[in-house]
Amino acid sequence: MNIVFAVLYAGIISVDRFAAFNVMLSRPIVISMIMGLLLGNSMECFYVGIIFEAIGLVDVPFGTRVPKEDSFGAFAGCSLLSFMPQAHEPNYVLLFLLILLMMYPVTLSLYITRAFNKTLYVRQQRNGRIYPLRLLVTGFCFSYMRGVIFYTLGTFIIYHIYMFLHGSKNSEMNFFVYSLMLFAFLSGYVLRFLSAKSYLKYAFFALGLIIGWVVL
Amino acid sequence: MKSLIIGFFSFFYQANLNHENMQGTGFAYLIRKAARLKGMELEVKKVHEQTSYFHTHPYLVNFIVGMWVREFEQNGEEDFHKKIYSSAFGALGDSFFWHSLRPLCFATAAIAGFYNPFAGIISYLVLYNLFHLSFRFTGFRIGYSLGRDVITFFNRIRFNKWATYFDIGSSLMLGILLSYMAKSSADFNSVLLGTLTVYIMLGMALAKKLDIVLGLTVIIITTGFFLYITGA
Repeated sequence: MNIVFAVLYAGIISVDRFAAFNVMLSRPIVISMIMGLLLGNSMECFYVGIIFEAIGLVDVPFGTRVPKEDSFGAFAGCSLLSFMPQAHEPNYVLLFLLILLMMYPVTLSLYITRAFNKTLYVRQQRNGRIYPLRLLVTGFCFSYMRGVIFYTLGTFIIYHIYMFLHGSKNSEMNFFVYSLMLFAFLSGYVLRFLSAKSYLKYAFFALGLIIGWVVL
Repeated sequence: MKSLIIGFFSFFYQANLNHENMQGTGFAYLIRKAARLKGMELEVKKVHEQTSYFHTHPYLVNFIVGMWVREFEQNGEEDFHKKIYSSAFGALGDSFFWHSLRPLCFATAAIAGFYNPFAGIISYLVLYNLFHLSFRFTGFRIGYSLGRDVITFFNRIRFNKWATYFDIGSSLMLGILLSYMAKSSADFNSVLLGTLTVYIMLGMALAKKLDIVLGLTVIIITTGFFLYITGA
């Protein structure tokens, strides 16, 4: 039942990203925590979420730009960590690489959605009568279906490629330390991306490090 | 009340987003609704005209809708100001909401979510949408009352400064998050601390030179190899 909810949620993520609402149900950190609660592996999902969220913080939809599908990354990462067979240690390197690779075709599906919307609009324009409400409803439904189909299909494909490539070789690795190191690297990107004056930015970052270490 | 209704309809105005007219279809839909609420019925030709290219930040669109209706009512230059404000509000909204508010909400939610995932979800959604919904639901009223001078509202609240303040807050919260996670998720040792410091500096050094996904790909492989040979 929770898997059905996850698939339906994929549609909401797709809609929330660009078609409607924009209430941030599509942010990787939110997705990871919701998926963690749905699938019962909150801590691992949390670490997946912070990595893909860091990508989304730097790769933003300024103007008409289409950012990479960080939401799909979080969705697929959380799903796959839940569905991996327990018989062997997961190979996190392979898993992350496959997810990053699959983000590209899923991002491409967003272009397809826009092309579909354009076709509908241009057709009505050519016929001399434009019905905005019809176009909006169709676009909404198409965006929802894009999420359900491409997110689920992408996750399914990664799962099978992973199972095919993984074989029987175990590579024991502390997932939390691994993710923390990746996140530390991405934090460098996020810090550079923030626009405040450098000395203020780094002073407050250092202050934060001290507070986090000493107080919490 | 009218501002709330337009705010609600604006949740859906981007659904036909495309590279021909971007949000033009949704804008035409919104101004027709807004004009009806003000007791006017727009001609079909006018609505068709408004489906032409339009793109702005989705949270600030209602300010433009309010301004447009006011100018239309007074036989002003609604389309001229629409063009000016769409690009201005696009830049303003992007720099605050996408660039600055999201990192702050993320760091705050991640600290809360580290304790309790449910608290993390709630804190992100509440903090972010507090700003988002305030602008979305008051936009039409303010846009309508100020008309072509709607920009004075943003000057009055010094909106262009908000991004800087929030970025400083984000730096602080990011620092807290990183050190707290390092302290909590792994036993403290000098090697880990040193490695994390090197990783942050490496990220900062590569940030302006290498695409983030490409940088992450490289670091996934090298870190995996590093942990594999050190047995960590």
